[in-house]
Amino acid sequence: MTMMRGWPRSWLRGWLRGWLRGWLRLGAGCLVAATLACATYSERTEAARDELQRGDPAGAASQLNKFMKVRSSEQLPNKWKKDFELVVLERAMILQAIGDHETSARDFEIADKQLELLDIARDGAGKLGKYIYSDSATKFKTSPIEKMSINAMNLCNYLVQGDLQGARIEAKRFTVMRNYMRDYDPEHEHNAFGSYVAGFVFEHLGQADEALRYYDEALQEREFGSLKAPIERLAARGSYRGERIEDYLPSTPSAPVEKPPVETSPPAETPPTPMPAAEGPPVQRPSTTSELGALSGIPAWPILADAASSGEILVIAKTGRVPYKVPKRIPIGLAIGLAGAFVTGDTTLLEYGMFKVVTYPELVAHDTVFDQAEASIGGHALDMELATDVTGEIVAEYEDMKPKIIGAALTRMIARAAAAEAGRAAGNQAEGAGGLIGFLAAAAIEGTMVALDKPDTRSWTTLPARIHVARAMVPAGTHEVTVTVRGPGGMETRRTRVKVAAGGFAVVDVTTLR
Amino acid sequence: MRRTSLVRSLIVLSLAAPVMLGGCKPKAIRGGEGTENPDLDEGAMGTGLDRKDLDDLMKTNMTALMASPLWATWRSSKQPVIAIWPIKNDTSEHLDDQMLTLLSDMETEFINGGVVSVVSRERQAEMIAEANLQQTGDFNPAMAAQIGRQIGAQYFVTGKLQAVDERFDKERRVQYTLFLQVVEVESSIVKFQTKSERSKAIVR
Repeated sequence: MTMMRGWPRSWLRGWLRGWLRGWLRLGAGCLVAATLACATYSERTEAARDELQRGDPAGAASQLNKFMKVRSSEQLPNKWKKDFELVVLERAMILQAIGDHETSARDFEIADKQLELLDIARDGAGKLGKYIYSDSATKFKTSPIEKMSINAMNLCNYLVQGDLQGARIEAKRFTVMRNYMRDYDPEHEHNAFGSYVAGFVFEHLGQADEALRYYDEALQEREFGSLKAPIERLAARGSYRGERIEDYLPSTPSAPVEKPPVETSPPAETPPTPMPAAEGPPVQRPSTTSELGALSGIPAWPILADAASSGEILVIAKTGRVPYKVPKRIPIGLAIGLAGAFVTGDTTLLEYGMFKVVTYPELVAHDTVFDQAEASIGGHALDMELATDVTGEIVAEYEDMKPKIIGAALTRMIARAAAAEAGRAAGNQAEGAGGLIGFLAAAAIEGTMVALDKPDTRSWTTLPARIHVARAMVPAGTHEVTVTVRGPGGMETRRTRVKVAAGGFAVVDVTTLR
Repeated sequence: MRRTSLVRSLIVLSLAAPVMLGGCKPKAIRGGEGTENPDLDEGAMGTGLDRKDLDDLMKTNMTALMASPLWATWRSSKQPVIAIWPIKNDTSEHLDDQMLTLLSDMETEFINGGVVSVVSRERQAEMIAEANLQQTGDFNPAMAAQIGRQIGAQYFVTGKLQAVDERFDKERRVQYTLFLQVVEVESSIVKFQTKSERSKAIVR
């Protein structure tokens, strides 16, 4: 630098300009490359979602197969690269919608083993927000609601195939997650559908008390008119009585359906309590109307008295998809207000930063095509009930995490601003055009970091938004089950023929994914 | 000089980053007696009953039974025959698998103690099936008497698990009580009864 003092001023200016131009070109190139290389998960899986939206689940599965570089849905990736386990989960849901329940069950099981849980119970140092905000470089972790839904969805695969033992294992896995949610997030609703179908599994395995416990869990979340008859049947065989189970039993004990031949001792339980008057405390009551009401003009399914010669049909209809995550920009001031105490670092540094917005992953809704369902068996209407509003649960879970996520985004922004300030200070030390160098250095550092800083938009995007259930006892034999889904996108009807053995069951699953 | 130190820092950082990230990777470990993590089962992970809880509850009840006059009578007599009735899960928790473990633990204690003879549960189940009976968690003295006579049992050991579940401000406490009972088949008289307790909670 001492030697440069003697050189002509114009040469110095020219050299400086060239030096800066070179760095700016390199910086711009890096920014473009970084932006292209760091497409978010929601961007990389957009094609598959588009296929689903068009009503082509097979096309969506092909898109995901391309993502994992496998030829067909029968195949699993040879090497588990980043996010492949999440893509296998997405494919599992699509395969269920297609009706390939065996392959779907395999994919669900693999995804369940591979995917780690985002532990909401341990967040002392705000790691949760930091992880969701921008740790897309790390292994994907499912949220508790997603993790619990894996087992609930896979239960459907086993039930449709009539495999009660496989369904039993999934029910137990579901219970592990549900217990976790009950312990660490007791304020929100948690997948009543999973408890409902787990109860169905144990009912058909002949374990009355366990079935009643699951139905009691489902009733903690919402009411199910369709559980009234099963609970009455089970209560005659089992002894478990929860508060909600009592509500679903008739006020005068009915004659038991099945009774041990040598039952001489009086029942241990207290008799069911009568239902309080309507103006009493807000307790759940069995519903006698469906979400849509019975299909107009179609007679309701008659209640069968002869249980020995009848079987049961369970209809499951899953509509829509849960919201997915996209990067969203909000002004810094608003972000600080939302994040509250979850920001660490000196927020005054943000005043010096060039970027006055914060980018974080936000949930956005899909264009819903179908959101309601109705069913009939052999022309008789069934009461179709909404079992779980998965979207509502996902949104509630995410809203709880959001302040932490925005806090993590701001914390990272403060770190960027601090780095840019250090660059500016170093540049300012240069003689001549030092101020300009300092400004450009700060801009280059902050700009590059912003470009590299992509919020993590990974989530289970093919998870159905709403799950509906209906059930009926039917005479043993073959029956035609009709499921009609409706919504802003019109309506669609699917017909399935099922064979039900006496004392057996059949499960019909319709999944629209749009 | 400044440039050299910056390059050096970048190299060190790039080499250290994968090591730092790798350090956070989860891994499977082995735990329990005789392993490098003997205390793995000590920590509670939820409000359900885990292996340690079952062991503690069982130990308390068996210790009480072995200190009772009934046990002294059994010791002095010629190995009375006992049968074990399923332990009733009277809680809202899904603990049926744990109840089966408890039953097996109890059976093991009795068999290895050598004081009583224990009717195999498989044989018991066969007899119940043959008699076209349905054995539930509820102890049914009449059914017990019938089965007892058929399998030659003089006593039935049975039990019940109950729980009190309370919540307050995102915290939850479950108080479990395991009752153990010995009933004489012939007379339906309760010859011994004890209980053990365990509380589990989520605190914040």
